[in-house]
Amino acid sequence: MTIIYLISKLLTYPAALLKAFWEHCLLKMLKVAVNDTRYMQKNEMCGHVEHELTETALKSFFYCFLQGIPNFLLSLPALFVSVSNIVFFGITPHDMTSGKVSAMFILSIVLYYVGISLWCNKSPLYEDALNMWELIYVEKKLSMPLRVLFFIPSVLIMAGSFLERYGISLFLYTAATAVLALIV
Amino acid sequence: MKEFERPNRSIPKDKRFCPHCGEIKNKKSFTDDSEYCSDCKKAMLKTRVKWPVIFVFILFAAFSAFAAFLAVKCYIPVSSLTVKSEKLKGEKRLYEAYDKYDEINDMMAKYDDVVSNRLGTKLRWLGPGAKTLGSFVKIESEMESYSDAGAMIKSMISENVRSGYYYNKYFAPYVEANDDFYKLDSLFNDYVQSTGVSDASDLSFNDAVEFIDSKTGKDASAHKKCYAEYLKASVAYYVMPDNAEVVQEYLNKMYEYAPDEYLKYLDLSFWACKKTGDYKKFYQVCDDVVKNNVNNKSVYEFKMDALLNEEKYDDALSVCTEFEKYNKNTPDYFKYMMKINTRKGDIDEAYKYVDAAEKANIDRYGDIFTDVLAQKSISKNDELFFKEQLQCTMWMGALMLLKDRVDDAYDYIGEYCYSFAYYYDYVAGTTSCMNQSVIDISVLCGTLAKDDEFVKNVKSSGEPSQAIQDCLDGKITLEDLFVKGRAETL
Repeated sequence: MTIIYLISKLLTYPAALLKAFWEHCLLKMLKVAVNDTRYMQKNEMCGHVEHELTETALKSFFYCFLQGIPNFLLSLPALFVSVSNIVFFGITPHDMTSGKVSAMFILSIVLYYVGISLWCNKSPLYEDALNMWELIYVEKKLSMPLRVLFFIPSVLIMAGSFLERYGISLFLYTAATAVLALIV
Repeated sequence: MKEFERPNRSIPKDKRFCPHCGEIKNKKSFTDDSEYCSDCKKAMLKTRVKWPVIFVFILFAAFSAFAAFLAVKCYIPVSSLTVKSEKLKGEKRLYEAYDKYDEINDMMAKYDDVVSNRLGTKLRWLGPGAKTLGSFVKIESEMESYSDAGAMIKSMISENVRSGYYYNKYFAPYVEANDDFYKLDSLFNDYVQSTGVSDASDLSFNDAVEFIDSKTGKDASAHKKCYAEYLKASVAYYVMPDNAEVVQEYLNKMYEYAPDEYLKYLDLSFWACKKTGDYKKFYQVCDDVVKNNVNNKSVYEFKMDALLNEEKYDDALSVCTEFEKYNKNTPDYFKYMMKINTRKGDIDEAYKYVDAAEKANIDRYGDIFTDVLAQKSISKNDELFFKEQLQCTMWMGALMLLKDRVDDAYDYIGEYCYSFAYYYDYVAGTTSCMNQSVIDISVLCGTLAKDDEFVKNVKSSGEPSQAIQDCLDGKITLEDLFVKGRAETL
């Protein structure tokens, strides 16, 4: 499964690099010790920064939540435009009315690559997500209102981390886009 | 001290050593709960971020910003129009749904022009995709017919993209139907020429039907069979005009094969029903069509005209009231209210709509004409509105004549009917406005107002119909023309 994970990171190389960059910035802000500053490695740490596990529940949650926000926000416009074109409007390589090469088709493919790369590199390392879950919901180190407030984001973070851990996310979302393009 | 080398297999952590540098734990360099020695901990907290990665962020942010700009300027409005159109389609308001797709095409074309002017015209920068066009064409096929949708595709879609998955899925069936219709029509025209007859009424009906069947084939598509039956009905119309039942029979078969060709059906069936006096199937088809397109103006008009033929004026008025639901204050609505009330004999009631029509629409009518004269391009909606108002204006003139306001009628028709029709066709290069009904009402008003010069100008476009000539010769009155319906062109 590591091979599949590495392939997905290689395919989304720039976004993986960017994701690790955000992780590193956040670790410095949260004063968490970083073991290894290599962003791309030939193992399951590829696209992540090796660090000490966060000790407090709040720090852990904010570390897992905030690191994905920049990539998430950057991916939205690119995905909106490209998925609209591909799935809903049915943009083709040649424009249907003029017969000319469609610049929007080329741009949609590029924007889709940018968007899906960013989208598939927004979740933390699975171990970090597990650590967050343990601290908040197993060891219950936060008050009840905060546990309720953080529940949905925590579940989403766990799910995202799981999918990214095995490299499933990239292939899943790309396949979903292809299927939607054919059936919608 | 050399850096501790990470083992290449998992071994239990030896908590006596710092996992980073391998330094043995002692009280001097470790705090009680720390995993790493203090030097390593300090170093780990002071690691440097790889700043060159910021260029990746700048590049991706540029793409995202561009995408956000496109989304706000173009894609969100287009998506909103698409959703509105589909909603209108669900409500069976097909004309309005069609207008929304027209707006999308216009918006995309406008933005494409702006971008092309800056970046070059070799590429198409912004255009509707295959699915958007496919939905547009589907609405056209439901509004009109498969063959009309096919004609629209041929005018809209470039030759070099007429193949492939999207073309075959969204466009090919309509183009095939269009090709079937024109091919069959062309083959039949060749057949007529080969028989050597000078007039269509001299054809042998049985031979013509045999020829049509031979060119259709048993495995033909439903639309091809429909067109074959329509051709047979057309031949029967020319060859045996007194035998309207035969025409109706073929038309009914035609409708069974392809109900979307209802316009062709209704057009010929209107004539046949007038001859036979049996409008039952005609009304049923009208009702079926309106169920799928609640604002199908042409079908409402067919129904109202059919009811007028049967002198069922109250029924015609209630159909007109239904028509008003989606056509409030439109020229067609006013025209039919004037026509129905006139035919009912209630001139005063009909005349009320003259003022209402003028108040509601004359300004827009004048503005569109001004734009046409200035050679500005007008939208399809404006073009349609102009032609409808032209028809409405004729009835306004007719009612003024019935109220003995000859000079007012002459002024009105002279300006708003004849001049508008003449100059519209002249500037736009069409012949659709200056038709028999314009010639008839203009000659009538001009003659009654004793302006021979005007009448001479109008007659240069064509001669008035026999009913108008009879009225001017005193053989029939204005009431016969408009109240009894002798003026067939109006």
